[in-house]
Amino acid sequence: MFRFIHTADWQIGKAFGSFPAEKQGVLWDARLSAPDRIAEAARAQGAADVLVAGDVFDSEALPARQVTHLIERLRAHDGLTWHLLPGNHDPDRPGGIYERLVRGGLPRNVRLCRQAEAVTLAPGVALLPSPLKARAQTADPTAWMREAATPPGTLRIGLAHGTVQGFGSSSEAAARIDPAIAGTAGLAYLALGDWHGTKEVAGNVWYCGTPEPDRYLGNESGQVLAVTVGEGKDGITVTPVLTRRFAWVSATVAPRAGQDIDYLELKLAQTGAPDRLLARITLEGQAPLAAHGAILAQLAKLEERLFHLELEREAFGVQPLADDLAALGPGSDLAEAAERLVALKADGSRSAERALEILFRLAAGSGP
Amino acid sequence: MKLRALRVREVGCFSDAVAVEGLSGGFDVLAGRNEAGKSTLFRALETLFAESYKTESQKLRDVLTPYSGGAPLIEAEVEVEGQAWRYRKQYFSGRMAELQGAGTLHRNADAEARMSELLGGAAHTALLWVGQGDALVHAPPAEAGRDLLMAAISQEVVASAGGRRGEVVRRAAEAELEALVTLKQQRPRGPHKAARDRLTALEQSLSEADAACVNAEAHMQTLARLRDEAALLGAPATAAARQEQLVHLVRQLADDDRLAADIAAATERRDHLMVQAAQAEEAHRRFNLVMEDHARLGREIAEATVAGERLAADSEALRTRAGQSAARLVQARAEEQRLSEAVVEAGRRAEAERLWARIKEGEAARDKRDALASGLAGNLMTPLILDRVEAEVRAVALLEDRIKAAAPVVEVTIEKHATAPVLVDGKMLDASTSFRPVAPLTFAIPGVAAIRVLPPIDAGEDLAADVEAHLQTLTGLLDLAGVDAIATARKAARERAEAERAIAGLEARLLALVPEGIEAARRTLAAMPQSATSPMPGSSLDALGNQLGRAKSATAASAAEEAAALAALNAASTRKAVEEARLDERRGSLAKLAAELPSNDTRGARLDELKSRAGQLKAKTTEATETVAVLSRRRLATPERQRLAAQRAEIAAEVERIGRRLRDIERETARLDGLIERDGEAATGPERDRLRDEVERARREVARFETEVAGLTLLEKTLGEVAALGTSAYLKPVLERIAPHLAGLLDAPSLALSGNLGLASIDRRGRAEPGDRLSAGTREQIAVLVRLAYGDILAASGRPIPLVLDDALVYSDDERLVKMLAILKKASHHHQVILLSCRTRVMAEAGFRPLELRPWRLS
Repeated sequence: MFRFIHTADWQIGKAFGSFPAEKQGVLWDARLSAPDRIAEAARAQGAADVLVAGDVFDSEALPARQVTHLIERLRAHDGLTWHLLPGNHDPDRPGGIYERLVRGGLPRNVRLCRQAEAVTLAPGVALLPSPLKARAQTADPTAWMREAATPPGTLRIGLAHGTVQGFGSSSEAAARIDPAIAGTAGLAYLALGDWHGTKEVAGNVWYCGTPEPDRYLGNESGQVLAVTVGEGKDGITVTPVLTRRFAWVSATVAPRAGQDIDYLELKLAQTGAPDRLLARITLEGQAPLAAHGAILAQLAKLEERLFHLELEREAFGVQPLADDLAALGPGSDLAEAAERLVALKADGSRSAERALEILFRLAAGSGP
Repeated sequence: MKLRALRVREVGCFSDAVAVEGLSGGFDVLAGRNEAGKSTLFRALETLFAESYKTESQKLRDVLTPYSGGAPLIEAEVEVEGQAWRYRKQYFSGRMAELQGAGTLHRNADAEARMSELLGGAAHTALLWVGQGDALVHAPPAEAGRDLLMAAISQEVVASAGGRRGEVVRRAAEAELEALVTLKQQRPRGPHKAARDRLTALEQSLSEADAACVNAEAHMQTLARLRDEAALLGAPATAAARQEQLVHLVRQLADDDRLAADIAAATERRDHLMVQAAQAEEAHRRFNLVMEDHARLGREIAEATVAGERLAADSEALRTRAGQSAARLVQARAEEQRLSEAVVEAGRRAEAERLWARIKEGEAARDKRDALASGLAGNLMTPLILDRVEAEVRAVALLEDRIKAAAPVVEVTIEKHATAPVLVDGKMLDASTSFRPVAPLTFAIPGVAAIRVLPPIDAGEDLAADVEAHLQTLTGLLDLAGVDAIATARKAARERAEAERAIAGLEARLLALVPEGIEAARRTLAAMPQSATSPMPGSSLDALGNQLGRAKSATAASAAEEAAALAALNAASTRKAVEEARLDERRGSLAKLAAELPSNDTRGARLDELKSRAGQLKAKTTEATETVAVLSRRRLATPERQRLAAQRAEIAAEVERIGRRLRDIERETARLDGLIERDGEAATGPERDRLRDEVERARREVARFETEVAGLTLLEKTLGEVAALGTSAYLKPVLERIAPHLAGLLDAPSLALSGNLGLASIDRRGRAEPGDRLSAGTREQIAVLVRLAYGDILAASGRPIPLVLDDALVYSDDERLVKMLAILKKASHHHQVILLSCRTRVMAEAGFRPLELRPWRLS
């Protein structure tokens, strides 16, 4: 039996350019501190080895300071051994980041998987890593595992980075991996990285996802896998362990009243603490003028509570009531214009919907 | 509001403090000459109410400050709702504002705010100022003033709470729209444009990344295919079988090549032996030949020696015969000589006889020629003279013809019963005659008349003179030839020609007979030997000739005999010499052959030895030929060898082709790896993810802007449509106030205003006349009427303000000016009207006092 942590796609140094500067720093720091939470999970799960299936760094051109910060964090967890595999974001190229790491000196508990050769993790347990040597390496990096020789009875654990679906999918490397390699190469487990969500490709072939999410994908990211091989009925157990600091949530709602936003907020709260929540809310439908304003005001308040709120409200229109029109002044030019726009809106004109909303906004500012 | 007094100091042309006091608050006309300061007062009043005391406007400073400098000070006394107020401002240096009244004193901004409050809105004062030329422009009211006016109008036409909020909202929407698109062409601008540009750039980048991805995918498929092909081509088992087959073929062909080399060597040895055998055979043959030649030469030398002796005897006999022939030849030649000399002598004699005969005939011809020549001496008519005579005769005849042609024709007809004769130059004319007188001619009828006919003077005289000259020449020529008539001259000429031809014939004959001349011939004859001139003795010349011929034949025969004898002798001598030379040559050859040959006793053994060697070499050659045949039989047949070689070449080419293809594949895969690596940079990893996110975000942003633009556009359009419906209602109060004046003043029942209260057109004589086509005076009057309507509306709304006109009716004729003054006076019952005018006389006639400026003592 051998237990280890399967993680990948740390992408240390990833920039969050679309966020305000203060939020960028927080998100960047959340990724940099992910190894601490992984270490905590490993200790909790009784694992001494952490296999990182590629993309440790977001790019090969990271400032030395960021690289040093990571290595020092790994060094601090001296009870754990970190096995770092080059991925498509940080391929092991001449003069690349891994060469720099070696030149700078590595802690004893950090091992770089730079060669496609079997290494011993523990007695009777061998790691077969498949480092990527180029960003767009095309050949199946795991092909060599079929021929890799290990002593009889050895538990063979594959470690690779690439796609099992096809080139061009989101966040995928060019390297295509034949998932059948687990069987043909006699692997007890194949730890894959690249896809940022958690995915069971086969019973013993898994994507673990990134330990700290970075997109609104809803693909079970923000966790690592605690894997035990050589025990149980199937010889393998895989247990997801949450490691994320921030939750990224997206939702689409069609509110009619403030209560709908209350419910939404309740659902969001179940995902995580508001100050560690990034939400993309898409509003749809229509609401009466007063409710429309109230909903937007409520969301504005919610934005203050959340770490980040990305609001899509283009499809959320005003449905004025008779009182709303009366408030413009019976017989006034504004009322006449509003009535015309309501008629157009009833015919499905999106422009009329937006014009109506603007009319009420500007009328509110013009005063009677 | 009513203006009661205006005071200024250091404003425009007023450096001193001056004041206009005592304004009525009704119709106040301030008439003054040009440059009296009316416009300065107008500007001062406008500045006081329109410009903050804090203004830094350089333009205002330039207009307001006197040339001598100073701090413009303006003060007005106004009455608002019965309460008097004093409003004073000083601009630029020592700037301040004061409003005093109702027991209060407000300063600076507070003063301005309070005054604005009293007047119902700060900006409204811009409404009713009509400066010089402003009326012509007829701009609609300024925006803020328009609001105030429209609000006042709304009070009349709409009591609703909404009022004109639609216009406010429409303008706000327009402002928001203008921030996003250009109003005319709806082109994106500002943040909208920036978002679109960003989206375009991002989509381009993403498109490139997608293209790179497609490329990479295509490259990867190609790569996989190439790798499969390489695996197939490079399969070890196939390659080994191919290699084994190739090695076998190479070995087979190499063995055959070695056999070919052996055959070549054997052939070479055989050929060498054949050459040696031939050489031995040749040596044997040659030795045999030398021996035979040696024997033959010995025999020939012996025979030649005998022949030489016989030739020597023959030569001697021939020499003797030649001597005899020579003696006979000498004798024959002597006889020939003698006969030749006799023939020469006979020839000379014959020549002398022929010369004598020629001399005689020549002398006869000479005598006859001399006789003819002496006859010619008396005939001087040479052909030359005759030619000239004939020419002169022709000239005279031609001239006479011409004189005749130029002469008049005078025909005289004698009547049958004429009683008087007709005299021509005194001679009586017998019968009717025609005359062509070439000289003056007188016709006379005695007792009746005399008629003198004068031919043309010029032609007649000249031609007659010419005739005379030619006649003189002709006479001279005849005299020269010694004849007296032309016919005689012609006969003498013919006789002379005949005598000359006879003399020429005799001279030719003489020359033919004795070319050297008679005397020379006689001298030649005299020089001849006497024997030639004496009679021939003995035989004749012919007989001598015959004898000489026979003697020459005898000489020739003797010469031929001698020559034949000498030739035979020479031939014998030559033959003897040739035979001796050949004998010497044979002796030399014999000596050479003898040197080549061994001694006589070993010659046979040598011949046998040579024969034996030739036989041995021939046997070896036969053996070598057999070896070549045996080896050749072991070689591969040509078709088989060709087949094997073709097979080997085919396999080798296949190996080479596969090697080349594998190298190509290796290069291509490396290239594709590079391309995939390059495209992968853009197509994979964070860059493409980032681009997708960015594009999506940019699209949402652009969509937001587009929705906003569409909403704003629709809103503005809808509000515009609604406003257009209400405009006529809003314009109604203005038009109603103007209408009563239009017919009387302009002969126009109505006019049209634009939605923003600008002048659109007037309706006159059933036709709409655009505002900008009207005369300056008409436009000016309409502008004043419109402003009067504004003023009336404002007064009706409880906010009366003065209408101030600065020379606003300068283009009006006197009649219309009077009418306008009446209208203004009537309007002044509702609000104050202040008219500044330079038309002092008209104003005085209308009863208005001139502008009076008083010193202003500042308190």
